[in-house]
Amino acid sequence: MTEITDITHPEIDTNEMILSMGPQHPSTHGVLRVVLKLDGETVVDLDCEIGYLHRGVEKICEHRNYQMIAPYFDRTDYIAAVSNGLCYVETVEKSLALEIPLRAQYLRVILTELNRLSSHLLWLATHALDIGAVTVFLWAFREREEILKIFENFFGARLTCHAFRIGGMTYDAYDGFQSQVKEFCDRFPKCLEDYEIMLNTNRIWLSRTVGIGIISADAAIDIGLTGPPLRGSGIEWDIRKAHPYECYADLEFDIPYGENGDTYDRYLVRMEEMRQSRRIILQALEKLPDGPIMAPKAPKVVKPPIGEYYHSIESPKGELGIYLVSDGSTQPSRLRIRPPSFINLQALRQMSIGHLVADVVAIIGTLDIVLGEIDR
Amino acid sequence: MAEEDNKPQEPNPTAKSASETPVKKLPRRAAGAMPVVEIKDDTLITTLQEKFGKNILAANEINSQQVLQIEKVILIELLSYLRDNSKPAFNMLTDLTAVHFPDQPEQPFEVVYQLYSIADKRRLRIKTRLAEDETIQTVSNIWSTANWLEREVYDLFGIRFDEHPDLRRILLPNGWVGHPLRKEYTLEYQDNEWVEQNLQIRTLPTEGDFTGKFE
Repeated sequence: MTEITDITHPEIDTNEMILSMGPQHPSTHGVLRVVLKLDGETVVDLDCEIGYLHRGVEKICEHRNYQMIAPYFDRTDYIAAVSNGLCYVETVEKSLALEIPLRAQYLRVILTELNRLSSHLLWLATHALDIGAVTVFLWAFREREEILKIFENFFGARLTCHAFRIGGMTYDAYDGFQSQVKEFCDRFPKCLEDYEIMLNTNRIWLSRTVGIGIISADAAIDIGLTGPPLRGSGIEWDIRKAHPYECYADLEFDIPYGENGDTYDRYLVRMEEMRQSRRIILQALEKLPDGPIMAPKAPKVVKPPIGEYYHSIESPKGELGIYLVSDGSTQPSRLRIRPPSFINLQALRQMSIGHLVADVVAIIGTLDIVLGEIDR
Repeated sequence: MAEEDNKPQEPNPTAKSASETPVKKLPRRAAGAMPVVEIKDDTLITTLQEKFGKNILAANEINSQQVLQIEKVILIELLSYLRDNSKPAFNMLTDLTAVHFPDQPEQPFEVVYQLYSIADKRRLRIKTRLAEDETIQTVSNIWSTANWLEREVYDLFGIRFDEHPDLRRILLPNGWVGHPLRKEYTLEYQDNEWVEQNLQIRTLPTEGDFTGKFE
């Protein structure tokens, strides 16, 4: 980190300044207000004010049937809508003890990993744009367009897809799905190499990300970080490997993890995750079996038994969990969403103190937050 | 307005007056329950039961997930023990939330802690019941992730946490009155006074079946 030399005019009186960053700000990735207490340009203290996008999703879900709740999950983390849908549908299916046919499981894995790719591409684009690399922004969005076209052909929607249903899927793979996904996967490694040529050894990128926002492994576990921020600090833990869901147990992939816990390590972790996602997609495409896509006993009226269940998946942002308390009726008694971005954002304060204002922008980018999920 | 609309307004039978508290009551048809099995052969649970005795009210496996129901008094001691000294050590607090059961008026609130052990890949859920205005100790000294999670529970349920470093609303604006996730807070209700003062939007009273409260 660069050192700030002492000012040469000691008679000038310096005060601490309170600066409000947001809620309208191009780099806060949504409506987030960060109140900074600055000494010059160094951050002395920081407070986040959230709730600008609070829509009361948990309250609304208590008044909706289980099939009606699924579209609300697309709108919490609107970037990884397919992942969110997967978490919700799996929670209900596990409460009902419903078995999903194998073809549906493989299709779900392919689509969820494509969603992870599109979410990480958007992260790369906006993070690089905040730091100043505009070319990477345009290139990453070009790749992301291909994925969104696949989603549009499959579900009819690009972003808020309502991808999965309780019991399986509604739509089977369309003609040309496999070839379109395979063509994208064949083209993708060259694109990743292009991004890495632009950024990995770039002097400006290194000075803006190496040593910025360092958090140790113990502090990361204490503050509750999950996902790439936790893996960037050196903890090799991924729910797809620790508690495999769908058909992840049959697929081979690695979990990248960093060592220093700074922004550059988190960047490398996500880049490598994109490579591993591509590997998962290619394996799942090869192994995709024939068969039905909807469970034969999928109920038309969904009434999970009385009780409670907690299920979590590895969404692109971290551990997305759902705690469902059911009273036996068609509407949940309590549906709690454990939002990874909300808990990751708590770490912003301790990661930013001591850094400059411009580094706060880089740290918000590296935590990869989505305000829809934070505020629900 | 047309002539035929001049008939006297009959009181709408489905409208609820503002004084009634509409708690959602759904008919309980014969739904089953998730399989609940008492935990018998688990070394960790047995150690905890020996250490804390009758303060652990129940140790069950609900749908293959381990749940401990405890008394509020042992909360800090139990969670510190689980984080530091137990085998396996639960080093991560995954989630902290609350549930409101209005049909149990002596202890309607339940605070739920989801713990996780990264080394052993094991989950554990701890639940404790609270009465209406009862407060509970904060666990933000044990895991700092509980800071915002408890603020959210306070914001949406009104449960206060003792010795919390910074207990204020997090999702709703600071002057809001009311705690939305309680069951008596209807879906259509909003704090009209706050909205009028801060957004300069005045909601006019309407005839008929508006179920929200007015000032």
